[in-house]
Amino acid sequence: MNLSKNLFYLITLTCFNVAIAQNQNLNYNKFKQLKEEIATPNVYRTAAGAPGHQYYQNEADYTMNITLNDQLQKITGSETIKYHNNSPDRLEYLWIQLDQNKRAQNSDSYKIQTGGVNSLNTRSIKNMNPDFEGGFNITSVTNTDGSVLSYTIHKTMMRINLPQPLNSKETFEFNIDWWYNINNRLEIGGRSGYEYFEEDNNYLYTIAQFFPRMCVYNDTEGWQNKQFLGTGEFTLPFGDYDVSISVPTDHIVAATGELVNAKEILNSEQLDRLEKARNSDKEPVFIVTEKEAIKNEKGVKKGLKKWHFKAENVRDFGWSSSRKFIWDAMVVRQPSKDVLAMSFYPKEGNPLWEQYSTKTVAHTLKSYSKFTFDYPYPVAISVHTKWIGMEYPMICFNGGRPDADGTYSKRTKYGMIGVIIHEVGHNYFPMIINSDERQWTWMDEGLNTFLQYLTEQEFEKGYPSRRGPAYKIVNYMKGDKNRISPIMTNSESIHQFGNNAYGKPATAMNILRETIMGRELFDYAFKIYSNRWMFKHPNPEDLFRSLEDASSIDLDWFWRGWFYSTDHVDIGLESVKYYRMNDQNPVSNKEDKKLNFEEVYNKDISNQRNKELDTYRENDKGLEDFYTSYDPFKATEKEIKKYEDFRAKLNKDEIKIIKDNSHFYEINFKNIGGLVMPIILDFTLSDNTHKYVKIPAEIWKTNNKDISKMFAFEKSVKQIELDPYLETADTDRSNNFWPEKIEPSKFELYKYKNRRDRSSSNPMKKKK
Amino acid sequence: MNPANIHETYVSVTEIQLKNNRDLEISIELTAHDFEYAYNKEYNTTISTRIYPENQKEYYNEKILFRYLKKHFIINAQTDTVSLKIIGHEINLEGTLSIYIEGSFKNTTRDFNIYNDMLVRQLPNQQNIVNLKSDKNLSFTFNKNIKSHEFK
Repeated sequence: MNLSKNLFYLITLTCFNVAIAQNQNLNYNKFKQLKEEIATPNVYRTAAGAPGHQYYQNEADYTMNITLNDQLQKITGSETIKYHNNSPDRLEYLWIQLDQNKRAQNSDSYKIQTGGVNSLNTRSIKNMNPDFEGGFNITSVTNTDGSVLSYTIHKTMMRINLPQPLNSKETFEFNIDWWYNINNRLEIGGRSGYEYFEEDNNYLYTIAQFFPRMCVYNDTEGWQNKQFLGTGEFTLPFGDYDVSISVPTDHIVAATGELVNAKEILNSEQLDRLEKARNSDKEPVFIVTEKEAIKNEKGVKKGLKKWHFKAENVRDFGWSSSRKFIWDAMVVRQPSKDVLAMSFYPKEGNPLWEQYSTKTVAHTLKSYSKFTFDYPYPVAISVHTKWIGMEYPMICFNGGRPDADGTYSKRTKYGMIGVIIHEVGHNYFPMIINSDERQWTWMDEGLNTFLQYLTEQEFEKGYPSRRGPAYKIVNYMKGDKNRISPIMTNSESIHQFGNNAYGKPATAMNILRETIMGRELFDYAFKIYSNRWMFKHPNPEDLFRSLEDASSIDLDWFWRGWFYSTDHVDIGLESVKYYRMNDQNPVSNKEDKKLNFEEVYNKDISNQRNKELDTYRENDKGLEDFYTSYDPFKATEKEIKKYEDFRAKLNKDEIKIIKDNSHFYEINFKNIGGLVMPIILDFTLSDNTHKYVKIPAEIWKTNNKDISKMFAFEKSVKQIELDPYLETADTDRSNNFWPEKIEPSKFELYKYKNRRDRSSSNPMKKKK
Repeated sequence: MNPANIHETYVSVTEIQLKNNRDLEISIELTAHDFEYAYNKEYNTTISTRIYPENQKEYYNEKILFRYLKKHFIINAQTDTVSLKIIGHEINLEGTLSIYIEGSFKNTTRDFNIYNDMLVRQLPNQQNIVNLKSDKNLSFTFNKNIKSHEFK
């Protein structure tokens, strides 16, 4: 509302500005730009959030020969690593990750567990003196000529002490031989390992982090050689893999990459079926049926068979092997290339897996690609496990097992579909958009959980998504701040991992999309980020900058609040004041005064009873004077003249406003939670129509705590609701209504809803 | 990795409303899968859900919940231990188990103690958040090392 001086004088209200005190002249404004928190743009990473003109990344190519010992549950391997130094720097040494050493008996991951006597349990006692002989056994590290190469192992990291520094643009090739005992995943835990099926005496191996892997060297971290303690996952360079895996003859193997010796490994019927699958885009085709798998798991054949896989431009390699596997596949057609979606599962996974797994893989690729880019790899595989969900390039291990009798609950079904979407989705974040997981869990888990939510909603209407919508993060955000950390916290130091690294960033993305930026601007910018950093290593600021730069929205306040602080959203309607326009017309003004006076006078009990009273003055004319006939509620001629002069000075717009006779509301908003957010209001007017008003967060830009704003309506307002569509994650809705309205608690909702059920819980008794 | 959908989420949220400084209305939300895992380990058993035929919703035998909460979720004020009554529970499709409980103090009070060590023995990363609404809003997070807290 922009009122002229004249008109402003007419409105009977007092207006004052509240300025917030800024302590010690420091800028605590929530809209302060993020320059101090994020890295300065440079030749490697631009201020727009894109890779800079001198961006580089080093590469590691692997050639590996691996043997699985099914009798001893042990893996032996020898690998050749070709490391390409694309950086401008000279490297005196190389760092390699030995993730299996996390399970070595002297591992730090056991030592750093905290807790007193009252936190003891069987696993923590076992972890004090672990009896599993885990960890890598490095048997040889050599140069290409076979000479011994100097190295130093420090816990989960190994340094190759180069004979001479590796210059920029040079390549270094070397060999490592190793073996380790595979962990029983169900007893010891872990992202990989084996599951033993007692009934048929078989093992199902899901194998990952199984070989010494190169660390990333880059412009932000130097070498990312932060120890693997178990929580912060992996940071890996891209490269090409050529891997041969020798397993028992009757095993079926699933792995990252394309099977290049299918003709040697599979029989002619299996080859035919695989070909059929490459042309089937509606239904999966079985390459190994359940019947064949059951036959397979009964007998143990002697000897080994070598499966040969090749994968290009991947950051890691995972595989799975068992004689229990059923195998199905279908094709997913994309504009740029066809992809084979596949599943490997034992009979224990059915009937869920044959019906849902491969189709869920296919759906995930379609949905994620829409928001990012076409899936660039030839295969996408879902392998059945008990419980976990864990991702690797092109392959992931997913839980979701029906009961032994083949029945399953709806919860198990949706849990399984959700976990497959999530793990297949990890192909995009972080396998292709290759962020530093050891440093920032949220960069892959948060963004992936966000797209998981969108993909679940595209799977089925009303899909029971656990995370995504704003209102689902409320319980976490209103919690005890001593146990909450900002999203921008290193992976190992996070409180409440699931909420912090998955739920909150996913919700923040969804709020950006639905409320702050809108779907069109967000989707474009998010796609830009994804394509800029496809097959590259982005940092948090690259995401922040890309979303701003591609949308023309300054989001520094949003990153500051949602990613760098533990503030929550709680905006309250502090007060609502009602005003009518008073045009100062002395005639109507005085009439109003009269009505007001009479209303009070007539209400008084004594005045009512005295109505018929015969008074002294009424009976004695001698008591009359000037004031007997004077009407204080009648405008004088002087007053009327003054008003007419004033009216003559008003312009057309001002006269219209007076004529409209609007209802004005001055609303005071208080920011209790600390996070600044848009103010979204639903006004219900006297005729039950609604006025929806959305004010951007910038309304808080000069005063982050208290603001007031005027609203004008033709009708009077019956009710005001703040955040009517639950889009801001407001943690306390009891202050979101005018007039005040108390929303029932979860407990009350349940009790009320079930009261009727409970009273008729035993209808037989009533009948008696 | 996905600790959320099928594996442990490690967080419970309890909402408590204290009315008239005497009556407690409580809802506890746990991940059903985590609860089953912890319960099975603790009592060396295998619990399963049953299904209501009319609405296909899952539920547990309520005795299981009673037995568990009696030991792992305790409220008392000075000498006054509240006997908590489970009025019902639900398991939704996202895998959240909600338990609804009521109880009353004998004497009116504003201060009371909560002992909460749900799931922490089996899931060392479990955090149990309790949000209290009385004349003020309070929040506290329990974990394997902090099992008891005085709300005042």
